Amino acid sequence: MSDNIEKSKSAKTVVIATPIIVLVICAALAAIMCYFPVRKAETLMNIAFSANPDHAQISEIKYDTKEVEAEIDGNKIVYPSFGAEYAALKIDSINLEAPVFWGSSEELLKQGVCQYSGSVFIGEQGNVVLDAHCNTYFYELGNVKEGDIVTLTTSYGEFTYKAKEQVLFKDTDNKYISPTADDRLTLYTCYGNLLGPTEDRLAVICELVEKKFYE
Amino acid sequence: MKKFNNYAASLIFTILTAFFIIFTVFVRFAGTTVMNEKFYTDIVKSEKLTDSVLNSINKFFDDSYASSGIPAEVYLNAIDKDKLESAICNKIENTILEIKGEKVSDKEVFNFSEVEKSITNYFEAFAEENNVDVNEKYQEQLDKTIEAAKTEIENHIDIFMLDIMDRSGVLDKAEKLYPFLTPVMIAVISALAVCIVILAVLNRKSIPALFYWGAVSCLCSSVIVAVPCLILKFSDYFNGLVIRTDYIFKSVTAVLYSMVDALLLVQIIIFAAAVILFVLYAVTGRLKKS
Repeated sequence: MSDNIEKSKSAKTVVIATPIIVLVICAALAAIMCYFPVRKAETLMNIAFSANPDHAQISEIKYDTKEVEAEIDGNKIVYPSFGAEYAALKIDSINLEAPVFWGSSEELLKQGVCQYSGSVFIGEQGNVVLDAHCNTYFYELGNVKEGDIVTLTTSYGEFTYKAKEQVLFKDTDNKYISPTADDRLTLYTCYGNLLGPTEDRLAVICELVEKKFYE
Repeated sequence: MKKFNNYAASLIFTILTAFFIIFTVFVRFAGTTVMNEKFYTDIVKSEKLTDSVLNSINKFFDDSYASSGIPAEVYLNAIDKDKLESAICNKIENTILEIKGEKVSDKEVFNFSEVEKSITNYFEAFAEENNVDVNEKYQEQLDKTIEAAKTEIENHIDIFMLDIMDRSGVLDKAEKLYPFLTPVMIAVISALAVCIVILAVLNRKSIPALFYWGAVSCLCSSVIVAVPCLILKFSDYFNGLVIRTDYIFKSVTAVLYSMVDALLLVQIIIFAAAVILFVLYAVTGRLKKS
């Protein structure tokens, strides 16, 4: 009788334990079989979509306004972050006063003049390149004449330029927005009298007249 | 000893049966859901993805107004929402039919004649108002603008980035693998049938035991697929995908979540089958004892 009870108990244990054993074995085998394909799929998804949930949505990245101070030839200079409004552009001859943002994007171009982030910071030696839309802030850029004064004011100094020449070039020609050895300011915009997209660009090249760093 | 051998053999074939159930589910899923154009077109309609696409088109042409001088309405007023939805669905259908090796309709995915007419009229009005010469340069500019608009609208119609997948060779691979889907399905179902037969032979002297092993296979196969699906669904895993374009993000996540839901539904059915088999095991076991 007790043997039958023992047998019955062990049979019940086997009946209950078997699904758990099978599940554990199947899960282990599935994990082993799927490990490499899942890792590969995750890599492909990360490449295609940046699937790491810690990354912010690109459209939600806030412009970091923290700026970094540095020194050049004993003068204080401030390196802005992308999207920071860090200068004011003034051209009296065409009644233009516009904010200047570091970096260029559609959103920033709606708000003011953008500085090409491949160019030097205002106050550093080389080519400072600014651009804006021909239908907004640089609407009258073509009316800037040789000798017109252009000023850029930042939190660390005021920089005065004189317009030297106007040039027309194609959007694929990087000559006028490339680094230069001399100190200059290049203002450029789209050029075209008709509607629609255009490959032509108009640039006003200005030579540096004065650098005035604030103490 | 004989009982143990029987138990061990049944255990092994139960594990194999569980895996063949999983393989059958996935192969069938590939054939009836992943390669079913209606699955995607139903999502386009139910998630109202056409509205997102139209908003994106509007934003693009709105943003480009500053550089082109052409208001967004010139383009938007010429795009009919139903025709746009139709174009999106046609694009998906054509791509899937091509992968399946079936004949694809020669009809243009989207008819641009209204957009062309709208842009042309705007240009003509502008030229008249501003005394612009209608010469070769004018025509060149008009053609370029129409071409740019067509490209942009076509890019928006491709909500699942199928052209990019085509260029990167993904669709070619899918086209090569598709013919193997049916033979693989037959092989997997045959293997499953063989495992069930072997289990039946091993447990021919005990029908309750057959129900029991069948229930264990169904239970394990459903849990192994359902648990990852539930994790993906309730952790909002796919919402962590960073896709720059809003309508593509919506489209891709909608499809991925729908696929997870479809798989979960099948697992619920298999789990229910496991429960029924356990009940049958209990009932027949009692009957046998009595």
